[in-house]
Amino acid sequence: MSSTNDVPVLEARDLVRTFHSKDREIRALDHVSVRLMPGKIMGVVGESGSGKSTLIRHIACLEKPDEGQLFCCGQEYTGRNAAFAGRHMQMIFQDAYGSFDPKMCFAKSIREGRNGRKGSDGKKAEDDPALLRNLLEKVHLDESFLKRYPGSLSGGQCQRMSIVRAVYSGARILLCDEATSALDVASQAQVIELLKELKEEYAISMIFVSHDLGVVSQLCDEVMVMKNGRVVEHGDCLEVISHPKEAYTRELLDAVMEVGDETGIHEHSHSDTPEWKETDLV
Amino acid sequence: MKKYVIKRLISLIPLLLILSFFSFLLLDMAPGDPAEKKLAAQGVAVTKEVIEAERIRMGLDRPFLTRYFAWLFGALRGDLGVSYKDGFPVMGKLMDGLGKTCQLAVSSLVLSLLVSIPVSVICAVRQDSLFDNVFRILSFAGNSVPNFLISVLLMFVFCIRMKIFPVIAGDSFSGLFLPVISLAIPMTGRFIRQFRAEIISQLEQDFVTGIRARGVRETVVLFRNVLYNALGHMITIAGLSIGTLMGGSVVIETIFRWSGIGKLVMDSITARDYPVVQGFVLIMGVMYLVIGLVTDLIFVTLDPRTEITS
Repeated sequence: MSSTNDVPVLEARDLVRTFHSKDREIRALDHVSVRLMPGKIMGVVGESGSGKSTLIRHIACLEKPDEGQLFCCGQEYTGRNAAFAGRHMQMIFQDAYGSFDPKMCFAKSIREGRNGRKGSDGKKAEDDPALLRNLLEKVHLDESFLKRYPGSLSGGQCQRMSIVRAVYSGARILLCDEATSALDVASQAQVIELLKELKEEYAISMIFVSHDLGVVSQLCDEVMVMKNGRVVEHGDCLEVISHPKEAYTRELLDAVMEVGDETGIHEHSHSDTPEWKETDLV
Repeated sequence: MKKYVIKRLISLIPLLLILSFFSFLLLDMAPGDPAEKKLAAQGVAVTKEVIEAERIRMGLDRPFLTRYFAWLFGALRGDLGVSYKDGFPVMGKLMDGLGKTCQLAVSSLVLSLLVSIPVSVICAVRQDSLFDNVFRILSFAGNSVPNFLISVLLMFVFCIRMKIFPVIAGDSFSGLFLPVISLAIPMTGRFIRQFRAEIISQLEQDFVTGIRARGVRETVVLFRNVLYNALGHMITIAGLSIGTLMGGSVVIETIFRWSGIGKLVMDSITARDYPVVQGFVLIMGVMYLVIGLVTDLIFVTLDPRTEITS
């Protein structure tokens, strides 16, 4: 007998998407399948143009696949609109500033995420001040930040705000598209820690797209390596990183090691995660 | 807000002084003797003595700066002198013309906005569709063809062939249509291209993708987020176009014989009626600066991030 924990919160089966230009066809997704189990974080890695972001956009219903099926908690939602996906999953972007309407204060943006659309019961979600306070506390931003506008916060603070917005919306699946790539090393480590805490506390599942295997290794339970729209390797994160089967995965790992040797940015362990400091506040 | 407006108004003073000085200087340097022109315009027999007496009467024998300050102080009191041609006060003549030109300019602007906003929104939302491609070509053509050519073509079709509108607009309501359309076509073309580009750039922002991904209705995203963010840019473009419209109306008013400020100044240049031309330059300068200020104020008021609105 299967329990709810056996049912993937998110499943993509054989997604195919081809983009046509005048002189050629680009297969952005070539029979890509994903199974995200509850409370797990799946890393999707690959170089630019490998199809990582396209995969996320299809999962979020921002684009429609040519072939394949999408399931959320066992319910098929292929071809549905973004409103359906929005009830269950939220995106976190690389450009934290750009992910907020520049003319909306954070309070408005965050509330719009929760009650800007109707839930599965046809009703708009009510505000939950206690949850919002709790989330702000977790990301070490006080309530005064809610009155501020995106341009007045640092990149790391803005990204933490976007995480607050995503979780406050009620979604329990986060689709992180290079969510730490634009941050400095300290902010990157803070966001990674924060995502881990949220995963534990709110049973959040995530798809974490990154070109950086170092970051993925710190955060993810599973990893999927993509190249030219295809999944070339998939498995337990530590297993794939310590014993890569595919040459392409080894290349990515070598690239991380080279960069790490030069900059030392991947040498810190979890215990090296910088503490939150007052100086981090603008 | 009040402080900001006062500060901006004070900053206009040096600009207006520079403008008034150079307009006075350029017309002072223009060939021809104003006294002779004035007498000739009035049909007086011109002799050397009569001209000299008129020069003294008009104060032209005084030094340049003395005349400039006399004119400037007069202008501050709303007195721009009298026309050489008919002796009427320049201010009155300009205000009459300005009213007529504003009627033309505002009608053209409203027509352009009414057409260009919905068209540019549809073009941006349905990028590369048939509708978008057709209007991109039309807007390019409308923007490229000079308005005097458009007005002549419109006149030929609607006045001569179809006889729907009068050839000479006069001051009639039916006469307003063709000058307005002639002015509106190039501006609509420009607006469609610029508004479309701005809306597309807003649509491509991550925050729009994010709002869509949160399931907010597309019309809400379009009006509340995309158009609201594009509005500041659109108002600036429209505000700057008012100046272009006033300038463009000189040709259109002459073609359609619309008695606005454009036609008045063209007639005055031809007749060397310098006080009218000087007054026109000053009033247009003031209008440009005031329109710029009003545009900035609207821009600032619409942006909740600026402190002065609080």
